[in-house]
Amino acid sequence: MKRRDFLKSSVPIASIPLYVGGMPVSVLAETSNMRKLTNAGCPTDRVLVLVFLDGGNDGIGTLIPIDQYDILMRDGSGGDSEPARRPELMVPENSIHKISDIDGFHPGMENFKNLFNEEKLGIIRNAGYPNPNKSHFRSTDIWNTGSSSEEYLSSGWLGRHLSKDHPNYPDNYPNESFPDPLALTIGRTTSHTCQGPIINMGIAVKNLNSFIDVKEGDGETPDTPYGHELDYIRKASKLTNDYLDSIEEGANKGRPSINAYPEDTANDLAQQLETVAKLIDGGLQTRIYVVRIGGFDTHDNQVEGNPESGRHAYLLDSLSKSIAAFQSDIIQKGLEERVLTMTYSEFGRRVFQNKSQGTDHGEAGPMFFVSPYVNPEPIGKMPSLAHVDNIEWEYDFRSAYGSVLMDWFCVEESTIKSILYENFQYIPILVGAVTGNEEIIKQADNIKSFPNPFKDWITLEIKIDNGPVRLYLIDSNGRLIKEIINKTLTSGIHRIRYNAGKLKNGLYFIKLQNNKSKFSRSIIKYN
Amino acid sequence: MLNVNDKKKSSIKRDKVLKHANKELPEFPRNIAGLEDYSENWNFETAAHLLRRTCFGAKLSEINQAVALGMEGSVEKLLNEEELTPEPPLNDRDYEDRAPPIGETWVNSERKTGNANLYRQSYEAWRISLILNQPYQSPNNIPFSIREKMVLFWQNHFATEGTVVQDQRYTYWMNYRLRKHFIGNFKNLVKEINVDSAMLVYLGGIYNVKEAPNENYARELLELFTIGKGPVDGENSYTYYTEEDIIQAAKILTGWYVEDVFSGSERQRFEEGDHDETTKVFSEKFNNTSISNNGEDEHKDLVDMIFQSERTSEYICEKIYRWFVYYVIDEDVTTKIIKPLAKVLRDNNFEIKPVLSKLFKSQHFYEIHTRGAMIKSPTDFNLGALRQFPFSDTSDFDFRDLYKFWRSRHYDIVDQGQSLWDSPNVAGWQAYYQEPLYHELWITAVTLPMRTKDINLYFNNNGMNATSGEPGAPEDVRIYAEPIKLLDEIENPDDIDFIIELFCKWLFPVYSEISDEQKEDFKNIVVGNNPNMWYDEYHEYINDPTDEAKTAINNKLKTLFKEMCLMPEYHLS
Repeated sequence: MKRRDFLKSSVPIASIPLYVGGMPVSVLAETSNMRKLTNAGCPTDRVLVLVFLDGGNDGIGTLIPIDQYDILMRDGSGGDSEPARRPELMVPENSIHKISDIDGFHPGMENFKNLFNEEKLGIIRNAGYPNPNKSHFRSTDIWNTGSSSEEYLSSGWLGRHLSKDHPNYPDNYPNESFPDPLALTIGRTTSHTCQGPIINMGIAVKNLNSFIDVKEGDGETPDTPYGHELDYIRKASKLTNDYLDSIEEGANKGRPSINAYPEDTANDLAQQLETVAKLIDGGLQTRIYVVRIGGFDTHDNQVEGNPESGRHAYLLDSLSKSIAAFQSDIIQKGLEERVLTMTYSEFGRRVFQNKSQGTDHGEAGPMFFVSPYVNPEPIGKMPSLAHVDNIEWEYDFRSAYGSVLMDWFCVEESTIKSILYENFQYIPILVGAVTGNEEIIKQADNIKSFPNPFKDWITLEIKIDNGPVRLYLIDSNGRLIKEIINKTLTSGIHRIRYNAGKLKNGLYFIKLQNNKSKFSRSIIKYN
Repeated sequence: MLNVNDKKKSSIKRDKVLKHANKELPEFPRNIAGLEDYSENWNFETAAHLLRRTCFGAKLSEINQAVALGMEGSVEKLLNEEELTPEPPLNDRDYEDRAPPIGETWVNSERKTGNANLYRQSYEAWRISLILNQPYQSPNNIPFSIREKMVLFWQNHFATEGTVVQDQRYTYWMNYRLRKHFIGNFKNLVKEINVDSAMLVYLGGIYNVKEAPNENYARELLELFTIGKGPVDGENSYTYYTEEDIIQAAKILTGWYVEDVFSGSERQRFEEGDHDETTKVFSEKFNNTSISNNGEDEHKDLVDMIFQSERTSEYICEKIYRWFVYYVIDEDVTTKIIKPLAKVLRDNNFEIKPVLSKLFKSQHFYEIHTRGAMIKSPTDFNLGALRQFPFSDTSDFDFRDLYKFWRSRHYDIVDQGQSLWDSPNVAGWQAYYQEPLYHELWITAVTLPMRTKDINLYFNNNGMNATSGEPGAPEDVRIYAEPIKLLDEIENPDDIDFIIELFCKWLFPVYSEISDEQKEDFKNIVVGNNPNMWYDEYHEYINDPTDEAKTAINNKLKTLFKEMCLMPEYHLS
């Protein structure tokens, strides 16, 4: 199949509205807030941690549509007008960790709920692509290469991103400007997401101990000619890995975590993320890390009797705890602003359950993003699940990838269209303001605004210290809309009411400056 | 392209990998078995070991066939498989009147100025193709043969440098000769090599005339091709022959020339007028033998004399041992293996086949001290991978595109220091004689990354370029690995555990040393901790074999094989 022989999708992309907080909002790509408010060029120390959930994660079981709880509990006894859904898989309603009126997390994911409440967890509810493929291998290839379902690409989406900046890789790498791996997969094999035109742009590190130890191999070798020659080649392999020294340095300099990562979890995601945190802390300039956990192909025994337990619960528990531990580790190390973690899976699963207390392959599924800069409002709207077999895609995963490249790595939109998706549509996954080398502005408790989204009146609650206070509203282009307060106030909590009814629908920012501190809060106006 | 041959020996100290290679010959606590017949279990692993050593990469189907045939049957087949004489190399480029038409061979045509490179590149492509596609007489069973491995052995033993020979037609015909006699009579082969046109040019035989004898070939004949140098045991004496013997031998070899124009008949001629007709007297190392004038047959008398020394039979057996078994030849090996094999050779009037038969049927060949002991040469590693894994069906390809592809693959191994056209020097590749490193020399800070890059290329989803760009040839021709074809040859193709175990036994020489963790890792490369995923994906494909599903499975298996072939274990045979 020739690379360029693909059928164009006939879905009119531009007409799909953006749903934020359950409300329709139109947002233009040019209003990408992260880009506009970046003053001093793109920070070069940003890191993307990609977490692949191998097997097809059941989105409905992860982020449960609580407003359709009764529908999902239907067992088919209501006749053809009320087809059976997934009664055996639904956890008790009161065990769900609510994050909005319409959904909440699986009981095992309290940490994700907490991250959401801290406004550090971004969500796209229904990410997928047109004409989805339900085969693991094929759909994984599609997500890894960032292709359409009619294309066969041999390079990965991150591979193309990296190779446009490093066209000669691996010749003359590592070098003084790029002494560290461009991408690192924690695991046995390099991730296909990083496959470049000729060679993978990343390297794989299974674990730091065996990687570094040159003297011993992966195990003892017998005292035979085979053992003797195997020793030599193992040594040679390590010595010819040009990144050995830099990774070793990173591992040695990186500090261990102060708080323990979870043990006894379903997999070694915690250990993988701990390794990532260590290497970032150790000064490795690698900007992309890929980790992979499997077991999500829950055809049978997704739950085990009690719906709160079972394979899926165990996996979600590990996912939630491990990512939370990672986040607290990097906060502790002062790295939080530099790291964006995101999850993906090759598909979601069917709305209805099968006969083995599990689910079969589906279509769209959620993507999660962890960073202090995420849009705190979940993006997308769950359709009615009463009759559909699968959840149709709402946002193209390639637009999600592209938005991350655009806002996190400052890639030009035209480049994204050429390396990723010509129908790319920007999604405001990230919204926090960043000012390069200056101090970081982030979402914080010092400003609260409700309701959010709002129609006309908003109540702003600010917490300040003695001193000058400037409270102002800007639009997503950075234009000043209203100077709300500009005077000295006493310390404590102050409330201000403001009528923003005349504003156009969209994304805005309340900004607070108090003495030397700056804070920001994103708010959304809808009809 | 960086060529390993460009590096000088002192770079062993500077190469950050090689300086960790042997500083002395390794010793092992072992008591090796002898040449008594192997009587233990014959199974997939032993069959894989035999074929791994005797062929370039062993295909699954070949190993399965060998298992069915049993040990003796397999060895017999290896040594007796009926093969076709391959077609000679073809001219694949338009060189107007300086070369035969495209598609015709040049091996008997006129040598013209300016076509040396053309013929050379044609030869290189052809040489690679013989290793990848051996033509067989009757492929109704699954054929396998030791032929190409033995041709390479002889090519290394009677090493010549293409850059010195220069006339590719001679290079071709010498290789033809080696192929014709790959498993025949060693003594007769030496007699043929004495007056082979390529060798006559390479070692100055054509300048060896009675007025001015040229010792070049005589020296190498004794030192490298037949009896070998022993320790210095006196002035100008090397245990098995003396300097004076070389001088006498040179006189015997006088009077030979090569033809520039020929057509299939011999390319050398003998000039009586330039031949030294005196009686040549040899040292007491050769029992003071005298050889009197015998014209163009005299060189055969020389060989007969050399072969009377027992050392001659031992020397070639040592070389065979280092080619097929391991480089350490200690007293144990000498007593139990080398000397008895030498006797087999002598008892069979220097026929090579009985020696190989004895060796490949022996207990020693299959015991643990032999398994996995050899580091694959570049030919073994690269071309073995290309031969043992299924690739695109190229039977309809334009031959010019194939030649381009084969030539590129030759460059892969040239870069690692093993040109099949041009030896480093008359001693052949260092890996087979340079103590104490031997085949550790194949793995350096330069060559190991090359092997990594090549494996990545061979299993690339984008395939390998096979576009000659010649007028009329198709555009954008590519050759892809197609591992899905293997699933037809596997008993339980839907069982991922079975498959991983099979692949480990197939690709790694000592299966018992592959840990459960490594196998689990390989499995998870495919299924990512979803144990039923392979079963489901395979059966989905079988029920609905779309191109899409086929591509997806191929890509998955390619990822798996790439990782397996990048393991240190895969470098070992």
